[in-house]
Amino acid sequence: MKHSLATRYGVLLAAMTAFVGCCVLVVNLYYLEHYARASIASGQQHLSTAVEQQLIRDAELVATTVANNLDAAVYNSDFSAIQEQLEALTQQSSVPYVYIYDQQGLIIHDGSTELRTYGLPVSEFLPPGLSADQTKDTQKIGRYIHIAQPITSGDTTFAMLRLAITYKDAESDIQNLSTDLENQGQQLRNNILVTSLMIIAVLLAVATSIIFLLSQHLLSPVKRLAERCRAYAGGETQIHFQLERDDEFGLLGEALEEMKDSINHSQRQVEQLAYHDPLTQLPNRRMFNEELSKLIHWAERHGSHVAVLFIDLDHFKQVNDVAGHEVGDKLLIQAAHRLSNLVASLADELDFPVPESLLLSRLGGDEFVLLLPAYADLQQIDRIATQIADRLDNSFTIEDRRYNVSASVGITLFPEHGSTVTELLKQADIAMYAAKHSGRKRHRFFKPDMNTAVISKMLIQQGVRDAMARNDLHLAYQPIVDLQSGEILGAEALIRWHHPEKGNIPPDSFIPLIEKTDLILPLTLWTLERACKDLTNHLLPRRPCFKLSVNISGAALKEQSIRDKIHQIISSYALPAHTLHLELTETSMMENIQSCADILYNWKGTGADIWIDDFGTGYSSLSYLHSLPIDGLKIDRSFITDITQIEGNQVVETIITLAHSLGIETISEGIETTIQQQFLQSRGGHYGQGYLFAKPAPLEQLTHILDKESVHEPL
Amino acid sequence: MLHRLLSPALIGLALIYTSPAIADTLVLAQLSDRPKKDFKQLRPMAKYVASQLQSLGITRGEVRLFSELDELTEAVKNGEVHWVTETPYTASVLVHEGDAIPLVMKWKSRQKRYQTLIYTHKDSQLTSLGDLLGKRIAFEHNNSFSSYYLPRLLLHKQGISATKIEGFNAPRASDKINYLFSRNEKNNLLWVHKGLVEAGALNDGDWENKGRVPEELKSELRIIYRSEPYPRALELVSSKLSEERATALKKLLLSMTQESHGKLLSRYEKTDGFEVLTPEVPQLLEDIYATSRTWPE
Repeated sequence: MKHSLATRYGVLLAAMTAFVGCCVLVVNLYYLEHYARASIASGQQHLSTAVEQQLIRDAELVATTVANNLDAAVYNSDFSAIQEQLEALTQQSSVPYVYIYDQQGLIIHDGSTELRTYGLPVSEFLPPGLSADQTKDTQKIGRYIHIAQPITSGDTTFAMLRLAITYKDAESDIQNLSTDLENQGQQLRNNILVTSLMIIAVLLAVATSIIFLLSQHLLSPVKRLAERCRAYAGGETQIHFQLERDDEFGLLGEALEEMKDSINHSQRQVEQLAYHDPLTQLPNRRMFNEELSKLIHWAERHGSHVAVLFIDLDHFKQVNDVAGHEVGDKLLIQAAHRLSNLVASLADELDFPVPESLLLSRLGGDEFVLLLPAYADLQQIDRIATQIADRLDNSFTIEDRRYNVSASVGITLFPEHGSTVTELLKQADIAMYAAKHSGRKRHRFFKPDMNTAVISKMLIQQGVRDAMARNDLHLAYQPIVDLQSGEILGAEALIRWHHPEKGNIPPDSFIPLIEKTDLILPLTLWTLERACKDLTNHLLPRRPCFKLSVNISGAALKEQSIRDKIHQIISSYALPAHTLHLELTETSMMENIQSCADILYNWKGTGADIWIDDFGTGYSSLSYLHSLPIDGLKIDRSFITDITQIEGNQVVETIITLAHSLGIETISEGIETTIQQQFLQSRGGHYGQGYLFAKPAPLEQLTHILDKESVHEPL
Repeated sequence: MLHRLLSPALIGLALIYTSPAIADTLVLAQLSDRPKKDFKQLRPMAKYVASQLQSLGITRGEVRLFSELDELTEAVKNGEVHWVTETPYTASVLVHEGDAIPLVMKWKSRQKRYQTLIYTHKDSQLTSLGDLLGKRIAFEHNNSFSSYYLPRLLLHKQGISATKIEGFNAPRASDKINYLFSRNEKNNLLWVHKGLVEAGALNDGDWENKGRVPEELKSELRIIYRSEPYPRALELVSSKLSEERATALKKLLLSMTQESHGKLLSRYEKTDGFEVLTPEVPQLLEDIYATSRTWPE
C-alpha cells in the first residue's frame, strides 16, 4: 500500500494546502514589502521635511542668539569677544562660514584669530545668489541654509551676521534613520516570514494528519472489500461482499456480490464444460482420468481392485455415414441414456465401498468407459459386460427409423494389467479391439498377447497420420496399355508408404485398415492433389492424351466438404477432358443412386471421366449402370487371375460384352500372363494393366519409359 | 569715587573693631576682580608663611581680597592687612597713601622684570612717540600697569599728554595722544593691525607669547618704542607690621627657590621666586605715583 489512495489524497491535499499557504504568504509578503517601502519613503520624506524645517528654525535661532550677543562686541570692535562667540559656530563642521559685516558690506569679522578678510567686501565670499543686504534673510541653496541676521542697537541695524549651515549632518542622520527604518522593516518582514512559514508548517502537519485519518476512515470500506476480494480469490467462495451501507461503497459491495454470483455461476458452467460431455452430459475424458487416478490411489491404499470397461459401438460409423451426424448424435444420446440407466440399476444392486461409486463417462466418438471399483470377482464383471452388450444390442429408433448397433467391450483390471491411467485405458482399448475383431457384440479381458497384434494395427493407423504429416507417402504409377496396340495410354496412381525406419510398407498391410477409418478422406485428397500435379507437370507434356486413374474412396461421396474439395482440386488444374479417371467402387455408389449420380455429374463437369473400380465384386443390380454417368469399367483382378487358359473366363467375357453394349470402355487389371493378354485382346478388351506390362513404379521410371517409347515410336 | 568709599569704610570699621581678636593672624591681601581664582592662588602661601612664623606669635594666615584700591590702601594703612602682593602702580599708591613698605620683588611668569612696547602697523609712517600726537593708541584697560600706567608715564615724562576718546570716530585732540581701551591684548593687536588705531601698547611678555600675538600678525607690525625694564610685581608689608615679623617674612620669602618650594611658588600666581629690591625701585614708585596724580581722570 505504498501508494494507497489515502496517501495520495493526503499528499495531494497537503500539497494544495502548502500551495495555498505559500500563495497567501507570497501575497502578504508582497504587500508588506510594498507597504514597508511606501512607509519608509513617506517617512523619509516627512523626516527630511521635518529635519529641514527644524534645521532652519535652529539655524535662525542660533543666528538670532549670536547676533543678539554680539551687538556690544561689534559696536566696540571687540574682536576677541566676537571671535569667542563665533568660535562656537566655526568649530562646528556643519557651519562652513560665518561673517559679520558692516553697513557697507565690508567684513568686520570672519571668526578667525587673524581676521584676514577684515575690511573686504563680504559679497566676494558669499555663494552666488546671496546679497550683502542689511535685511534678515533665510535661503536654502543646494545642501546649505544661508542666513542673514541683522545686529541691531535698538531699531538701528549697524552690522549683519551671515552664516550657513549644511544639511550634511542632517542628511546623514536622515540616511542613518532611514537605514534603521529599512533594517527594522526587513527584520519585521523576516519575522513575519518565519512566523508565517511556521504557521504554514503547523497547518500543513495538522491538515495532513486530519486528511490522512479522514482518508483512512473514508477508505476503510474499500480496504475491507479488497480483503474480501483477496479471500474470494484465495478460494473462499462463500464470502459476502455486502457492506450494509447506503453510499457508493454499499453499491460497490452489492455490485461485487452480483459479480461473485455471476463468477460462481460461470465457474459451475465451466466446470460442467470442462468435466462433462456436452452431448450426453456424461463425465468426459478429463473427469474420467481424474477419477480413475483417484480410484487407483484409493485402491492402492486399500489393496482393492478396479476394473475399466471400454465400450465401443459397432457399426456406428455406418450410421453416421449413412444417416448423418445428427442421427449419429441422437443415437449416442440414447446409448448414453441406456448405459446410465444400467449403471444406476447396477449401483442400486451392488454395494460399492467408495463414495464415487460407478462412473460412466464418454471419451469421445462412440467410445464410453465404465469404472468399476472393488468388483467382487471376474464373473461379476463378465455379467456386467454382457448386460452392457445386451442393452446396446436392442435397436435404436430415431426419427421413426430403426438403427442397429452393437457394442464391443474391452476390460482391463487394476492392479493385474496396469498401474497407471494411461496404461489401463490403452489396454482396455486393445481388449476392445480384440473383442471387435473376434466378431461384434463381444467382450474380452485384456491379455498381454493381445498387445502385439492390436498394437501393430493401431500403430499403422497412427503411422499413416504421421507419414502424411512427414511426407513419407508417395505415388507409384502402374502403366495402362492399349491391349490392341500395346502402347502405354495411361497409368493408375497407387499410394505407397516408405517408413523411415521400417522401409516400404506393403499397401495391403495398411490400406484396408485405413479404409475403415476417417483417415481415408484426407488420404484420398492427398492422392488426387499429387496425381493432378504430376499429370500436369510431367505426364501431359509428354503425352497430351495421357489418362491417369485415381482411386476415390466411397466415403468421399458422403462428405459434402470432401466432394467439394475434390471438385475444387480438379478444377484448379484445368486438365484436358478425359485425361483424369476417377475410380470408385461399385458398392460405394449403390447406397444412394440418385445423390451419387448428381455428385458424379458434378465431377464430370470438370472434364474428368468416371470409372467403376473392382467391377464384378459387388452384388448389386446392373440397372444402375444406366442411371450413372459411367465412362468405363475396371474388371477386378480376381476375374483376370482366373483366366488360365485361352478359353478364358465367362464373367470377363460378359463384362466386356456389357461394356461394348453400353458404349463404354474396360480396363483389365492384374494381367500377368500372355494367355490373359491374348484372351482379353481376342474378346475386345480395351486396356490392360499388370505385371505383364509393368509393375507400379515411381514417377521418374514412368516418365523414363514414356520418353524411351517416344524415341522408338514411329512418326 | 566717593560713592565707592562709603560702604567699604563701614566694613573697614568693623574689621578694625575686631582686629584684637585676630592679632596673631597674618593677613595677605590683593586687589581682585576675580576673587575665587585669586583666593585659591594666595591662600596656600598665606597658610605656609603663617606656619613658618609661629615662633613670632603668628597663629594663622588669612587672605583678604579688595575690589577697590582705596579700601586696600586704608586696610594697609591701619594694619588690617599685613602683607600685599601687587603690581608697581598699586604698590606706588600703597606706599604713598597707605604707608606700605616694599619688601621684595617678585618674579612672575619667568619675568623678573618687563618692558612696555609701543607698536604700529609695519606700513605706518610713525616712528617715534612724538609722531603719535593727534593719533590714537590702544591701551588694554585702566588697571593695566604695562599697557596703561607705564606707557602713559613714559609719555608724560616726554611731555606728551594723553586723553581718552570714546570710540574710534570720536573727535581727537591734535596736541595729545588719544587713547582707547581695547579690553585685552588680542583686541589691542587686531585694532592696530586692522587700522582702527594707529598704535598699541603691550608688554614684552605678551608680545613674545605666540598664543597671544601670532607670528604672522607680528611680522606685519613694528615696535617703535621699548621702555626700561620694570619689576613684574612687589611684595609689601604694612608699616603696622612689627619689624621683626617683616624681617622674618622677607627672609622667608627670599629663601624660597624653585628647588625648595617649587609647587608652593607655582600656585602663588605662578611665581618663580623673589629678589631683593634694587635701588631704582623706590624712585620708580615715586615717579609712578607722582605722574599718576597729574592725570585728570
